[in-house]
Amino acid sequence: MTTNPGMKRDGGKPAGVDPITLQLVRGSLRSARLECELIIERTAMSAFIREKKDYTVSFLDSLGQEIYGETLGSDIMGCVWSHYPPESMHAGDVYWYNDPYISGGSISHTPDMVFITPVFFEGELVAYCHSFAHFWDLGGSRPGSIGPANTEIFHDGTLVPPIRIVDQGKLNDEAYRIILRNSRYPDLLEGDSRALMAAAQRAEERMLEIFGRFGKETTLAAIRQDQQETAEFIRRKTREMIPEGTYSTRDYLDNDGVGDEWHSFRLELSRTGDDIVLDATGSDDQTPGSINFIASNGTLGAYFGQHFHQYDSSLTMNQGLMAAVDDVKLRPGSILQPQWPAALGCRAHTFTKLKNAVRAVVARANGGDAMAAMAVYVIAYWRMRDAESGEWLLCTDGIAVGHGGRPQADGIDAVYSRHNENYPAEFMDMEYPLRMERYAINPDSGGPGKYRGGCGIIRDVRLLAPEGTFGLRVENHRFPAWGLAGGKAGGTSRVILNPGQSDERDIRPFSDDNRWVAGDLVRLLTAGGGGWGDPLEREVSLVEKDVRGGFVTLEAARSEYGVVIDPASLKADAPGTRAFREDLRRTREQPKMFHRFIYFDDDEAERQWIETHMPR
Amino acid sequence: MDDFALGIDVGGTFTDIVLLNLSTGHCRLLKTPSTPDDPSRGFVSGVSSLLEEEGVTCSQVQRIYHGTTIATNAILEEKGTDVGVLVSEGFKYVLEIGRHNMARMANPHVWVKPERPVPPERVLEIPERTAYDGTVVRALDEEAVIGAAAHFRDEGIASIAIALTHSYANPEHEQRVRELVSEAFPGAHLSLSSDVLPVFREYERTITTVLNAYVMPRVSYYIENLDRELRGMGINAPLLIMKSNGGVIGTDTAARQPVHTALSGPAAGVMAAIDVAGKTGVPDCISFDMGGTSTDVSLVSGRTPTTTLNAQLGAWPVQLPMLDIATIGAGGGSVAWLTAAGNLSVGPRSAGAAPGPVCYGTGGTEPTVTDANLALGRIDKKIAGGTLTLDSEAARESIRNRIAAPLGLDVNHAAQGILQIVNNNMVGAIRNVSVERGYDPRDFALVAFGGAGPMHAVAVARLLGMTTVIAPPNPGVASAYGLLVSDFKNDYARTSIQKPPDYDIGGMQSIYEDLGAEATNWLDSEAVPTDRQELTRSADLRYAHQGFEVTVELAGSRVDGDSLDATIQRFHQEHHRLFGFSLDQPVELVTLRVTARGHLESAGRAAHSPDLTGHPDALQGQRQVFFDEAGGFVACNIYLRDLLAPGSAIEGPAILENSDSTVVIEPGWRARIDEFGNCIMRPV
Repeated sequence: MTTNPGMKRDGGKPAGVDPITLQLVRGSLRSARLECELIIERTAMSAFIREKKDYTVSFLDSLGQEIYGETLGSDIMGCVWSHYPPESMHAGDVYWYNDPYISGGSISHTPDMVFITPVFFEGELVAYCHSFAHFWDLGGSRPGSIGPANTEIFHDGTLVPPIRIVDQGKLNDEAYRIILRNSRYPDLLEGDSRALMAAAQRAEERMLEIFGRFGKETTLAAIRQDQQETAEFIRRKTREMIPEGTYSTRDYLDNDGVGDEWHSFRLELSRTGDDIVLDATGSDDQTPGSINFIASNGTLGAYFGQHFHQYDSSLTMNQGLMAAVDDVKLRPGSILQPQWPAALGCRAHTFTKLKNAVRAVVARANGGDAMAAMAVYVIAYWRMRDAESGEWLLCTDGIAVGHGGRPQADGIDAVYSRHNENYPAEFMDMEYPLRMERYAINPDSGGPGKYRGGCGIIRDVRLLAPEGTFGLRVENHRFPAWGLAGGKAGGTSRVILNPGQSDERDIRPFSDDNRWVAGDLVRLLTAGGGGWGDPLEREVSLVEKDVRGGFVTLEAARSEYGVVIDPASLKADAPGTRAFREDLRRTREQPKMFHRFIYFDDDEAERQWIETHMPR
Repeated sequence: MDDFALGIDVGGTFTDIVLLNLSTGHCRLLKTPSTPDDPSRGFVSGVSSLLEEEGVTCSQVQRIYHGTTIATNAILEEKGTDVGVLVSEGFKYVLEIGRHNMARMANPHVWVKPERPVPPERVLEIPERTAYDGTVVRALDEEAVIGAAAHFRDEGIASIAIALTHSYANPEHEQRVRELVSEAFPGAHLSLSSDVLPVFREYERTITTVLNAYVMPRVSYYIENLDRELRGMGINAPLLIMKSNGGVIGTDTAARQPVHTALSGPAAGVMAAIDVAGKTGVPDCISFDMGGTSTDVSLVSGRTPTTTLNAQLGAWPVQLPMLDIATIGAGGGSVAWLTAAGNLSVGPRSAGAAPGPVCYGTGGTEPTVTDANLALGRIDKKIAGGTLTLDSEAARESIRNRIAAPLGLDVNHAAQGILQIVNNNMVGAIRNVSVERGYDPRDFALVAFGGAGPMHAVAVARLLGMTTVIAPPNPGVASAYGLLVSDFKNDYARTSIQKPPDYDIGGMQSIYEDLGAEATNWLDSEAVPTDRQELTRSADLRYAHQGFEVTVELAGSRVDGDSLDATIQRFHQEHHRLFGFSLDQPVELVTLRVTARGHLESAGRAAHSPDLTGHPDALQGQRQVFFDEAGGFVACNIYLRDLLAPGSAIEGPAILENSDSTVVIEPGWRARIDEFGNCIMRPV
């Protein structure tokens, strides 16, 4: 399979677009996207969209290839066209779907909804716009639809195959009512879907304005050139940074939520001549639980592109990012290519680690020039029965972890996956019969390194309602985020009920239907990112600063960083540190490219260790 | 003898001073270099020389209005004082974690979390807990407070922020902490979150309180010093400081809550735009203040500025009521450059005052927006009343070498490209300001000021489909004028969650009474006569489970069943207007607010000076100016703006010049000068 015909290599610059016009088209697209995303943020109803900001707006060309946006690699239009070929589309239409299987994974779990508007300029279908967001509830097994206990896609809520929800300006009310009827919170679903439709329609207006301002030929040429510039840069940069050869990695998932055994996937990159091929066929079978991820040529290509985009972030995020990779091999029935009707809800565990794996193979190819692994972001589903109303309430709480250390900087402490915001403690306190009693940095959770991995957090939540249940999506309990270039793995996660009390016990971090009653307190300790570079090379003043701030304990400063700090003054003892570091250099396990449990260069070495010490 | 008022806007480069004759409405102005090491020096010497020049004695000055950037700069340049923070047990990392977000468009491979103004080791935890409804669920550990105060005293950390959870619902613990800390550490500057921002959301409340503590010593020193110097000169008029909400406060209030002055200067600009647009009969406008390094844009609807509770100062959210001003990192000094991939970009880096644009000949080598304007003939080589000559050839040369040649363009098109890219960015920002409020910019006039505003405004308006552009008579000092048309204004708020069906009407009424009493006390302390005092009540409402609120004015002056129903009705309507839908769902009240206004008699500026009734010399001649629409350089009439009579009509392309700015009337547009000297431009 070829990812992107016509996109890669030469092709020659299209004639007739001057550099100023190109920049004006780019700038106009950027502000159009901001404007449309603002509409979503302002008019959507659910907290997932408004507070957690899980939404995006993108623009596609008439071939369905990304002009600008964030749904990179997804073949958004393919499944729409198979029901509604372009010649059957009209201005004023809006198309809608969330079906992961029909779309070949371009939507990767059911809560993600996409709304598409075709753009007709002078009678010709010249582009598409679409809005995308994570919805609150579409029915399914439990409030919030997706969850750790699900084992079939049907548990994950309503499937919407591509439908024409608005036909030349007229809402298809029959279909709309069916979909709304299937949600526990139909008002939220209606509010959110109307916001998404409004955003896609505004995007269409702005596209038309751009075509009108610059003319059809010029606009199309500018779009093509923009895609080509990104493609050329990405292709050149990948070839610069990845020499010929074969580089592999394997990552492990704690469990699938319903079983106890771990699962793994393998990714191999081979460069022959100028061709880069990714092969994930060595991955384990799909799992009964919900961590399956429908990877595609596009998504894997896009993960690569996004990694290399950091070297010139002024380039437009568009189809050109996919030019890094020529072919992708996936095995049907594997965890990265699951067969219907496997549950997909918690696929973030897998794709987060897959993004890490992309950096792992790049690091193997170039001697470690990449970010170390980040931990998988955490979600808690707090459910409780309100004492007064008897009503069951759901609080879907997105919780921070640590990102990986980088060749130039520490990993980011305490962030979710990206730009998603948490709920303030005071919001949760007043909105639900809960009390947040602690929200702190989890010390020593950031992997030691010259550049430390980001720290995870500690969150203590107490139930004030008579009873409730909670579901947890906490990864990295058994398999922490790996360290890179001599840096060590991040800390692991843990969940404890009633810590310090006589009934204290550990809760399975990836689980659902855990019962709790009034007065119970759940403590979440989330994982940190892997470190980058040899921890003994970390500047002593930075270790001091970390100890003063509570990111690193005195003990870890000594054992991991070799820095001897006076417990009273919290100042490092310089000669003592020099001597101790030298001592450590001789006696410790010698650093290699990767670290998790042990230092290793080759994923087979780690695999053997894991098979021996933590058999499935 | 006539009475006068002074407006002084201290910016990074210039201090603008306007002297307003309160009897005749006539203004005199002075632009003098700022003295950043001690801004009061430029302030005081500028005031003395203007008074002397105009023959006005100190006793004739009735009021002094001041826009200051002291607090803003201390925050943005990280030059505040060392702060200690006291928080509830469990929340030591409230600043560090924040809302755990990174900038939306940031690349996670390269983004670095901004360093907090206070490191975690200076945040100490106090065992105690108040619930969201104000109930104390864990008593205050007084020993811990005393220990913490002693620790800060021993460390020499003399500015302390106190921010305990849910203190908005019951400030008892914070107030007790204040007593204990004052005893243990006399003389420490204290900032309480229940004073600074008594509303919910712990991170936002804490960081705002911390920023207040961070700038407090500096601001109070500055204000005291300035006040003393003015008294020393013999000026006894009250010194009024512009707040971020578009109103003024006295020096005592400003010294206690300095973080309220963070948008002092830009807020004055918006007040000027309201005044200018209002005089021309336009109630709805967008202010467009383009200076040297950045451009401020704000929306005005029905002569009322829009206020936000979600303002950002640098990397920090500050949830105080502020005028909703969007800042774009592009101004006259913004540098044009090529990205690694060879694409033309403009800003956000600015050449600033040093090294400055290439044409200033002060060492700048990178072409700026000003250089592009000069290269195309849009500004004259002689500026500032002929006192400064710009090097047009050097500007063209740098554009040729650094932009045009690598891109394969001629110099003129490269310069034009620089302007187009800047204007395009402005278009996006103005649209977003409008969309956010549920408005269409085409229904608004663009009020352009700042040194560069009127040069770009018509091009920007045309892209947005806006059909009215207004440039006030002295666009370069508009913010200082804005100070003079401001009133006293202070905001009081308290979060009190009210869920249906058991709205606590009596409780809400008593909160409004408390807030009202605080507000009235303040107006009295500023010596505002009772008949000039005005209180408005409002509330933040939301649908149950919504994560943010909409502020609407309370129907009626008391809370009862009817006024509550009517207020909720207003919320439904406003929600629909802003977001396109309203819901048949329970509505919660979250925060109650009282705004205090003290109306200052403002003569406003009089009609245009009588001597300017048409001057034969207004037309200075012609210059070759490049316009894209005209296909290149065309002969363009140049007018001396100060000599244009009210009622003059001028066809574009034309350029109006005066000492502080240039107005560019593009081809296809026509300008008219009104009786106040405003230049009103519309498409032909």
